[in-house]
Amino acid sequence: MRAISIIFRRELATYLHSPMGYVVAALLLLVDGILFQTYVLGVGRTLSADVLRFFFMYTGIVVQIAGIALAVRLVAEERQQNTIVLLNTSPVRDVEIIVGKFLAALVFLAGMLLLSIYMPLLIMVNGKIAVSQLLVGYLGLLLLGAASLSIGIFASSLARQQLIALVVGAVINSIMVLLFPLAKRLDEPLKDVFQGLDLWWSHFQDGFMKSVFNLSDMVYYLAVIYFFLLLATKTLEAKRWQ
Amino acid sequence: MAMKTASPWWFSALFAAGLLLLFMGERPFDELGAVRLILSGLGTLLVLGISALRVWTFAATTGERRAVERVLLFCHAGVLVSLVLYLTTTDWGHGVLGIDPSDSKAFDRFQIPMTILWSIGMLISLVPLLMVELSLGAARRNKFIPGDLDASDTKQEAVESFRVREISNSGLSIALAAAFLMVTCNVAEQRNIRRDVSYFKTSSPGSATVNLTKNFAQPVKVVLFFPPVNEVKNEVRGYFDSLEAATGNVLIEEHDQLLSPALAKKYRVNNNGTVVLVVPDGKKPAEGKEPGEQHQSFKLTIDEKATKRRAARTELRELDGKVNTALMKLSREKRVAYMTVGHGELNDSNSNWAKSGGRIFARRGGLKTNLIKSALRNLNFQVKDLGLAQGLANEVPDDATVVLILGPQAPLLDEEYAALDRYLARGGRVLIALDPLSSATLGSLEGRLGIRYNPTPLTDDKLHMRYLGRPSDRRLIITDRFSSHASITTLTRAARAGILLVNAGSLEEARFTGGGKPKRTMVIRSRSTTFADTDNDFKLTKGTEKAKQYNLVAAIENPDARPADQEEEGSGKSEGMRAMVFADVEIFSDYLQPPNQPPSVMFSDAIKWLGGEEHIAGEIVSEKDVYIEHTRNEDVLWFYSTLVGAPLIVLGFGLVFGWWRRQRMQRRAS
Repeated sequence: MRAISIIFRRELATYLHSPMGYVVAALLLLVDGILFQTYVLGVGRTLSADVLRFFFMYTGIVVQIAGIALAVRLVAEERQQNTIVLLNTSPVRDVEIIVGKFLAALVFLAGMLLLSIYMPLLIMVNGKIAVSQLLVGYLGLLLLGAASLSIGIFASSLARQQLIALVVGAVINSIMVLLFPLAKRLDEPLKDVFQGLDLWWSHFQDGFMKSVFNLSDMVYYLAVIYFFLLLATKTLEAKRWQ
Repeated sequence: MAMKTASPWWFSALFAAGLLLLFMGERPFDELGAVRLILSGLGTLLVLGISALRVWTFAATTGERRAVERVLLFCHAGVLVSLVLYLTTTDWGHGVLGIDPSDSKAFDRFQIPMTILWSIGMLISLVPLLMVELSLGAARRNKFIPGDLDASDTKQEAVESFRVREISNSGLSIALAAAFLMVTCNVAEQRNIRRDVSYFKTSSPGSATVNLTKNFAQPVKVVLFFPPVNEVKNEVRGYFDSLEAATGNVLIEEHDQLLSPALAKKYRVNNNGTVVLVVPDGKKPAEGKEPGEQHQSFKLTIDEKATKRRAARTELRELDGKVNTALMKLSREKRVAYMTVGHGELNDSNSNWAKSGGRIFARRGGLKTNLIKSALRNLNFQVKDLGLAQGLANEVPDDATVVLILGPQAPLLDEEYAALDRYLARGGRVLIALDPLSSATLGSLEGRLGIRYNPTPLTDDKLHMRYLGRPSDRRLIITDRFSSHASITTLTRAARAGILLVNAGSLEEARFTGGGKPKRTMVIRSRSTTFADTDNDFKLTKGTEKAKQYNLVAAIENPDARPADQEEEGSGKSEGMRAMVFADVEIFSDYLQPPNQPPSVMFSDAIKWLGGEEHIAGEIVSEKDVYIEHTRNEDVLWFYSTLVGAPLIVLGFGLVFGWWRRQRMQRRAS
């Protein structure tokens, strides 16, 4: 735990002490704001529940991009700058490196999500939405973002270049999002498997986004996070042997 | 360091190809008997053949190389076992094992675990195989020379079998984790806990319902037919408890429809979930008989299924409206509201006027009045047409409680104006809404009502609703300038943010000519930023146009204008003539009249006032979702706060924090 804590603090400080962290956060808020203005409020007279739903939808897209973008540097940068050798030779296990870095990125991502809360609060003032709706929506966004983060870390552990890690992470994430439309064209049991693995439609869009909490959706996201973190750890282990 | 293995990379490639052929035969082509046989047969041969070769290479090698082959052989063995398990789930397997597919329970007990088992087996065999092959690559293999599998052992550096073992262990743990997670997700799916946390609140009794309930001479009996334990019943009970507390004029009874069949039959209740409101019918009972009753009922969804639960929530959000409608029907006899037709009115899209090519509202974005009619029915009115065919040119029917003239596109005939004037003179009630785009005016009613209509459209370039983002949005004016007149009592409370008017004209005072002591009140005015756009350019032209308050709605009453049989003052039957004139008609169209929104509250108040029922006017509470609308100013606020404010705050904080941190570090260093 101590090793995780040290890596966590070091990574979080990297985000918070560099202007780049704030630039990224401001940029993502700006993108979220543009989407909110253009596609949520810009469509005219809309029920407040629908406004909130669309807000979660567009923030869900932004949060996935943010998750991948934040995660790709975590391991690939160490490799690019050859500091991975220091990590490999220090008395820290691979799993601790991955978990520490993941938690730091997750806290930063959660902070960015928290900064966007003023948009649904504006809806709350003008419409009829409940606090529980906000909580469930934000829980969904956090889980979705964490899943994308874990995918990004896995991609980062695979590649040496951050750009390649970004492309790999984006491809894996996109495939997991596109599994649902693909599943529609398949027969059982592949259909069920693909639908079950889908990252967006069945677990976020039909659940958290519509203010419906499903325990199964939460378990799914935790499983995805665990699986990709495990993959990242195993990849890091395997790279030691190369 | 070279890691030469005894078996070549294409063993695994061919093995994978065999599995692919098997998959193709068993899934996409399973309906085509011959193709399936060829593909599955070929696939099986390949899989078995490669596995046999793997056994051979394993047997023919020694030492480290044998250890590597052992790992690969385990993977192959896992796949073969999985295939055998898969075979038991096919029709052939069912036949051999004597599984009867017609016994669905027994069949599922066998089929589901076996399917899960073979899938997991395949996963934990193939993932390590793939990872081992990826780690070995193509370059670290010997050429496959059947007679010389182990001969070159000593000439080569030893294969590091522990690396292969490590990587296969990693593959195995990943596959097992994936299998475990899939099973976990499946169990979570089966045992799912679902909570719909969307906004929900049962409506509370509104002032309209409270006033109405208080108005009954005897308590209103509320009979709830619900199962003993039911969430919806608790919500409904809570509503009526509040109504009882507010009025002291409610008696509540709870019954289960199944346990009280006689009572259910009496009130014609067929299902639980029914609310019955009962009041005495006011008729003198026959000797020895109980006083008569009249009742109204409505049904609520009480099904516990998730989809139905949403329906129940929607109904509970609007419970006050349902109760109010039922009470209105019990409070008095049904009245008649006439809506004029034949001049292209808002409610008259299919009239002769339209057939003759006249401009109609239906062509202006499909404006309709279904919600107005529905609101009238909820107020216990019967809605009837009134045109030439119904005798408007002669006389307004005697049973008319109120006549509505909603945006005629052509002027009414002189005879029709005259009939309406006579109707008003004998204490009639009229609601008139005029459209600036039409040629209709108040005609000869101007003198009776003391109102003249100015069709110049009102425009506001400062405070208007943003809709299309074009200058024409300036005709969507918003006003919150209400008087304290009884005809808009509730509106004053319900529309603090203002009310929207679309393409409104304005009203001017005219000289009364009808006699008596008429009283005219301008109940709604525009904001002082509004101007009459005479040059139609959506801009305030200095010199010719002036921004000021314009009259939008007028309420006129004349207690001296009453039926001939009630001419004596204080006879108590009628308050005399009442009329309301609106300088906008689109406010009565469906798109501006969703229930419980300010325009519908205004209409309801207006009808109650015209009908002499202002004492039961009030708000109907609805917890239904509302539309998000903003004025231009609000829009600007939202725009800048979302696009500029928040990102700038984050950036600013980052800069300040960075500067403070640098300063602190410098201080520490010095």
